[in-house]
Amino acid sequence: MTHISETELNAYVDGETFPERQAVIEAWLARNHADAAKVKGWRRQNQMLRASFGRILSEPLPPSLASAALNTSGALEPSGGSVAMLSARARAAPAPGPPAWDRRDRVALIAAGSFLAGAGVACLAGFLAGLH
Amino acid sequence: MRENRHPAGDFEGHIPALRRYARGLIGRDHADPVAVADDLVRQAVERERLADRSPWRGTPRLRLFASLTSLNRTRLRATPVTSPQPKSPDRSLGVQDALARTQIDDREALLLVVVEGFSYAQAALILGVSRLCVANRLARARQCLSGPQEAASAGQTPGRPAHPPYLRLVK
Repeated sequence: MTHISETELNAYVDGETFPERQAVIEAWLARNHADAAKVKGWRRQNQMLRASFGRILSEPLPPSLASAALNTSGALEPSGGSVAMLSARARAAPAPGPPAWDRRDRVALIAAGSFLAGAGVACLAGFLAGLH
Repeated sequence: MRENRHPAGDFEGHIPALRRYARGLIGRDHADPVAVADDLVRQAVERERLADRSPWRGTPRLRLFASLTSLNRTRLRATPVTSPQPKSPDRSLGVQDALARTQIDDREALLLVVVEGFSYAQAALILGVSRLCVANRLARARQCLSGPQEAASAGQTPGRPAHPPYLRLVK
C-alpha cells in the first residue's frame, strides 16, 4: 500500500479528495492509527473553530456597516444631500442607463472607424489611379 | 470601459461572514479587534463597490474576501504585531489563542476553508496562489494548532505518543 501524504490527509478532512481515493485513504487510516488520530484531531479542530466563530454571524451590524452608510461613504459619491435623500435616490433609480463614459467611447470608436475607412478608400483610389 | 458601480445592496448579504473572517484574521493582535475588523470590512465593501465588475474578477463574494485579505496584509505591514497572546482556560477562547500563533498566510487559508467553507480552488483564487499552496498552508496551520491541544487530548489515544509539531515536505 502506498503512503498517504500529509497534504492528502488534509484534503480528505476537507472533502477535497477524488472519490476513487476515498476508499484508499480510509483503508490506510484503518491500519495507521497515528494518522487516524491526526485526522480525528483535525476534525475536532474544525468543529471548535466553527463553533468559536459562528456566533459572529448573528451579531447585529454596527452603524458603520449599515447599508445607508455604505451607500453614501464612497469617495466618488456626489456631495451634498442627507443620507436618507441619497439612499432614496439610489432606490428610485436602480438601473440607470449606460454612463456618459460608454457613450463617449462609442462616439470615439465610430469616428476612428470612419477615418480609417476613408483613408482606405483614398489609398485604393490612389492605387487604381496609379495603375492607369 | 467602466461599468456601473455596485449598489451596496449587492454586498450586504456577505457582511456578517466578512466580519467573521476579519475577526479571525485579526485575532487578539489589537486593543479593539472588533472595531479594526469592522473597519476592514467597510473598506473592503467600499473598494469593491467602486471597482469594475468584469466577470473575470470572480463573484462578488470571492472579490470581497480577496479585498479583505489584501487590506489586512497592508494593515499588518503598517503595524506589525508585537503584543503577547493571553492565555485562557476557556476552550472556545483556547482555539482562538492557538489560531493567533499561526502565520498569517496559513491562518488565511484555514479560516477560508474551515470557517467560511470555501473549496481549495476558491481559496486559491482569493489568495492568488495555487491549489496545492492552499493545501500546504492548511497543513501548516493545522500542525501549529495541534501543538497544545494534542497534549491536552493525549489521553484519547492511549499507548501512542502525541506526535511533535513538525513539517513534512510534500512531494
